[in-house]
Order: sequence, then structure tokens, then C-alpha cells
Amino acid sequence: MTPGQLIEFFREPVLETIGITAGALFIAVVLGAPLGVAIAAGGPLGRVVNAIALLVRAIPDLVLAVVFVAALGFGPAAGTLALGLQNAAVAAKLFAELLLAVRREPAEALRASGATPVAAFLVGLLPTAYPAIVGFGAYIVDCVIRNSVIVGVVGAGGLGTAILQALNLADFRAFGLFFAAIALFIIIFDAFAEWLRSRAPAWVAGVTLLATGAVGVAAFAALSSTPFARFAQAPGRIAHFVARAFPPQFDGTVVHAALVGAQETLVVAAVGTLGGALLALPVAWLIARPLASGWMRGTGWRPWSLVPELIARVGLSGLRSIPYVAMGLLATLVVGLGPRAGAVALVLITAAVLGRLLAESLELGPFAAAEALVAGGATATAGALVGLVPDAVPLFATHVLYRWEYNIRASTILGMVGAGGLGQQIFNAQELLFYHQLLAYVLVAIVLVAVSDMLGALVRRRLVIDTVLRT
Amino acid sequence: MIERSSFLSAVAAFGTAATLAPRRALAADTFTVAFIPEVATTPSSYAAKQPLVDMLSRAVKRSVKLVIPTNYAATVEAIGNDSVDLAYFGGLTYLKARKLYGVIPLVQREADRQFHSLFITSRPQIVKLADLRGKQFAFGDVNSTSGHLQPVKEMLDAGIDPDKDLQTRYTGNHTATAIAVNGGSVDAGAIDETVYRKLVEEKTIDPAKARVFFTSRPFVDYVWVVRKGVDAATAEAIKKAFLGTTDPAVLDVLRATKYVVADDAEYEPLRKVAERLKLL
Repeated sequence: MTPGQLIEFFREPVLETIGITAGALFIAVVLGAPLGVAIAAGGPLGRVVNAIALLVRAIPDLVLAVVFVAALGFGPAAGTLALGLQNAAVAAKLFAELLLAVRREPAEALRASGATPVAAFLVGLLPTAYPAIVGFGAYIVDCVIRNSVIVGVVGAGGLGTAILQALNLADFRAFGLFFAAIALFIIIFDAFAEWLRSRAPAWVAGVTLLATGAVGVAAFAALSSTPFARFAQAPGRIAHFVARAFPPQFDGTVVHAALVGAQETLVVAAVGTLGGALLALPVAWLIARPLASGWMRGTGWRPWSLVPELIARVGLSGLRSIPYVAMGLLATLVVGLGPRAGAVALVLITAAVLGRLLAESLELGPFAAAEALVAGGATATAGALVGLVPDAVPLFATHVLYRWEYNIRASTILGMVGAGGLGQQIFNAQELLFYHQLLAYVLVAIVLVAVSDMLGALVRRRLVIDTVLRT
Repeated sequence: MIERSSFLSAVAAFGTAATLAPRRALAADTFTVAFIPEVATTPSSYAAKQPLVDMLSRAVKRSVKLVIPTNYAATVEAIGNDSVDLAYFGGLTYLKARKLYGVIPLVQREADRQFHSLFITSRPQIVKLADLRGKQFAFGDVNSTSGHLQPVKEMLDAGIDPDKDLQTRYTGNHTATAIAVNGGSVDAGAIDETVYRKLVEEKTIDPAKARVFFTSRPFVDYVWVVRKGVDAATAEAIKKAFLGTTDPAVLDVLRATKYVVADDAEYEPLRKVAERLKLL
């Protein structure tokens, strides 16, 4: 391929990805952040917001995308909105969990001394949470880029769609090229987020958000295929679409299929989460900067100590570049159709995401205890294990629990590629336009997600309380 | 294509409202054409469909936008809410769109009147349908006529209940079925005959490995339809354009040799089968 052809090959999908990602991201952050604060604040409002966010997260991407097609017609608008809304719900939850996991003492002290809640939040909580928020922001970008596969459903393009169609056509050369493009996207973004988190002044994050918003709004304004009148009709059309699905069809066949599917989904999600978390531990150890750079050894920076870190980092970025459906397809090529493929795909995806998040939890410190241990004669490894790792446990546990819930949902995505489970039932009902059945399966999925969410919240609360008691 | 590129250029040069305004005015009068995922493609092959788009554009005297979504149901919903004017559907998808939104069939490829599903396997011991008992079998998409509906009918007619007598999986599309059978990760599968031939030709699969052991009886499959609200003159112009074309560049887009008139009556047998199998 000549450079000219290569540019031609990538031009459309890359530009579309940028437009769709920026639009969806902006919606996700602008909608997700305040909702997250509301959830973290608790009270009746917090509980209602939490329930709505849970509902939106439990609806498979694909179903949400079809709802928006029914509302707005084909085109990037439907895709951007579906993607934005779904990720706003994800962001709200992550943001809320984060606010609950960070140390709240400064904010509480400020409140006690008479500061307004907003001031206490801005001065007492936000600065502490800032690095983690940027980390979460980067994670959301990942999610949006990968999940942009669903916009293919609604007739828009982008790299996610391109990579999936290349795989569907068994065109591995095109797959490789698109994969490389997404990986590059993610690696560049990772580096940027890393810089934002560690060295950049805080205003850069604000400017980045505004710039993202500008690109997103511009992309949205350019959605000429969706006339304004359609947006005005959208709520009515959505209501009509949902009404068509009532009542849910809970007959014998559906209930049986739902139970078998739910069981498969639970197993796939459990294997995926546990396997992924175990695989993430050593990778995170390699990546976490204070451990990887030899900093803990008290010898300062050593060039060769960066090699394993770099390999692990690039490997993770590569894994995170593969959309779930594509990962599922690859897994079916290797281990055959069925739930086993779903589990393999989920283990890899989960390891990639958790590896990075765990590394970030480790990097957040505090390092005083570990440093003291090393100064007192402990080896660097022992110092980190005893002095640093326990502090990262609550945050990491939050991530793992969140992934557990997310993986239940992800297994519905994997259903698209014959990976079994409830996802397969949801996908088939949706494909056949059997909306009464679809609603029944989605309700089962919502119950699964809600129960695992509640269990997660319970465990997390215990973990956080335990840590508070220990310190 | 016009709208697609206007979206792109607007993203590239965002903020320049001056360039957006005239394009948007043009877009309001665009005729939208959708393919179903059966003919899924990479972005570069939008260009390969340009001859067909040009032909349609001349016929409807408007700019034509081509969309290739990856989902059957989304396409049906889109033609139901008027955001798609002309669509290319498989047999079962057509029946659903007809039932829900009253779409009107126009033309189809000559081969679509006498279409076949192929049953393929890499296992030497499978030589007839009855040998499938207890085996792992791959259907394509659940909504596919040649990848699911007709194969299920053939199995039932041969006395095999796919729900009870074998383990079935959905791969999502014909190519994935072919690869799964070729690689041996399932024992057998059912596939669209034209896709199978194309994959053999492109050497994606080996016909000695993924061998055809049963060919279905003929059934009626793909069809071009317009949504209910499209005026008769436009529908007629599209029909004429398809029926009259001998341009290989247009015909090759869907591997057609000739287009013929399609009507709803010819789908009656398929409709009965779909209803009996509870797929409609």
C-alpha cells in the first residue's frame, strides 16, 4: 500500500471515530459527573439516580442502539446518543464509587467548620480525587472507543465497526490495520492521560474537556442526516418503542431459555472476572511506576527496569484496543463457539482493564509506610507488599467488583458472536424483532446486574469501613 | 455518500458553519438506501458499490446515501420510521418488514427465486442430514433465511429436531459459519450458497475441508423493497433501472446476472414455514 492509499483507507473510519468518540464522551462526562455526585451524596435522590443509572447500564448496548434508531433513524446521531447515554451511566457509577473510596476526612472537616457542601467538595474532595478521576476519564475513553462498535448497528462507521466487519469477512490484513490504528489511538491517549495525571497542571484537564465538548458539539451539529424535527419526536418514538415490548413474554420456553442463559452468563462472568483479576496482579506489579522504575529499591531510575514495564504497557493497550465483539470472534476462532469462548474473551479483556486500574491504584500511594519499611531494612518487594498494597486493596476491590457487574453485561455483548449465555437470547430476540421476548430477557439481565451491584456495594462498604478502622 | 462525507468534512473542519449550511439543505432531499449485514463490507467497499448508487441516483433524480448497518432489526426499524427509503432484505427479514411496516417488494436477482442453503462439514463420517444427530451445528444469524430458517426446515423434514437432537450455535454470519466449519470448531453448519462460492473462490475456505454434503430445496430469498410512503413513480423508476441494467459494474455489486420483478405472493410458502417455525 502506498502512503496515499493508506491515508485513504483510514481517513473515514478515523474521522468518524474521533467525531463519535468526542460526542459520546462529552455526553458521558457532562451527564455522568453530576449524576455520580448525586449517587455518592446518597439520600432519596441518590437512590433514584442510582437505580436509573443501573437500569441504563443493564440494557445491552445493542438494544439501546436499536431504540435510538427507532427514535432518530439511521445515522451517527443515534449512535452517539446511545453510546453517550450508556457511558454516562457507567461514568456516574465510577465517579460515585471513586468519591466514596477517597479519603473524605478533609471534606468532612471543612463541612464541620461551616463550609458549604459545594466548597467542601471542591476544596476538600476534588483535589484528592483528581488523579483518580483523570484515570477514570481515560478508562471511559477506552470504553467509548471500544464500544463504538455498536454505532455500526445504526449505520454509522468508525474504527470499531471497521474492525468487526473485517473480522466478519475474515479479512485479517484489514483487521490488523484497523487494530493497529485503534491501538495507536489508545496508546497516545494513555500517554496523554498519564501526563495529565502526574505532571500537567489541573487546568489542562478542564481545557481538554472543553475541547472534547467542542469537537463533540461540532460533530453533532454536522449530523445533517438527522433533521431537527426528529429530535423533537424522539421521546415519543422511544415511548412507543418501549410500549410495543409490553407485556414481557414470560412463557415456559422463554423462562427456560432465560434460566439456562442466566446460568451460563454467571459462570462466564465469574470466570472472566476472577481469571482476569488474577492475571492483572502480576501485570499491574510490572506497570506501577514506583515499583517498575526501581524507585522502591532506593536506587533511583534505571533504564533497563523500564523494559518489562513497557512490554506490559503496550500489551495491555493492545488488548484494550480490541472491541469486545471482535475479542469474542477471535476467541471463537481459537476455542470454538460457545460459553468457553466468552470466558476466554472476558479473561483477556478483564486482565487488560484491571491491570491498568490496579497499577493506578498502586501509584496513588501513600508511600510513607513502604518507605519506612525499606529504610528499616525490608526488601523493596516486602516493603511494597506490606506497606503499599494494602492501601490499594479497597480501590482495587472496587474495580474488581465493578468489573464483575460489567462482565455480566459484557457477556450479553459476546452473545452476538455465538458465545452463549443470556446475551445470545437477548441478541436472537432482538434480531427476530420479538420485542416481548426481548423485554423478558432484558428484565432478567437487569435483575442479574442489580443483584451483583448490590452485592458489590455491600462488599465494598465492608472493605472501606475495614480500612478506615485500621488507619 | 453525500451526507456521510458532509458529516466527515464537518468533523474535520468543525466550526465553519458556512460550509455546513448548503450541505445540510442538500441532505434534506436525500434518498437513503440500506443493505442488510448479509452483505457486510469494509469501509473501502463503499466505493465498490458506487456504480449501483449512481444508477439509483439517476433513477430517483436525487442524491443517494448508502448505509450498511451491521444489524437486521435496526434496518427494519429504520425503514419503519422513514429514515431508510430503499433496502435490500433477506427473505425472512422481508417477511418481518412486510408484516410490521408494509414494505413493498420491487425486484430481486434471478437467482433469488431459486435460492439454496448449503450444509457443510469437515467430518468424513457426516454424509447425510441424519448423521448430524448429537453433533455440534452452526447456524449463521438467527434472522437469516439461508443460514437458519431453511436449514431448520430441512432438518425437521428429515426427522431431526435441531433443539433436541443436536447442539446448535449461532455464529452471527455466513463467513463465520464457514470459518468455524473449515477450522473444525463445529462439526457442521448451514450457509448461503453464493457466500460459500465466493469464500471458496477467495481461498478463505478449502472446499475439500468445508465440504458440501447436502443442498436444500430451492426457496425465495433476497429482495429490494421500498418503504410504504415512497411514491409510485419513484418506485417504478427504481424497478425500471434494475430491470434494465446490463452494466457489469452494477450487477457485480451483488453478484447478480440479471434482475427480475419480485412480488409478495411468491413469499407465501416461506411465510408459512416461518410461521410454523415461530420465526415470524
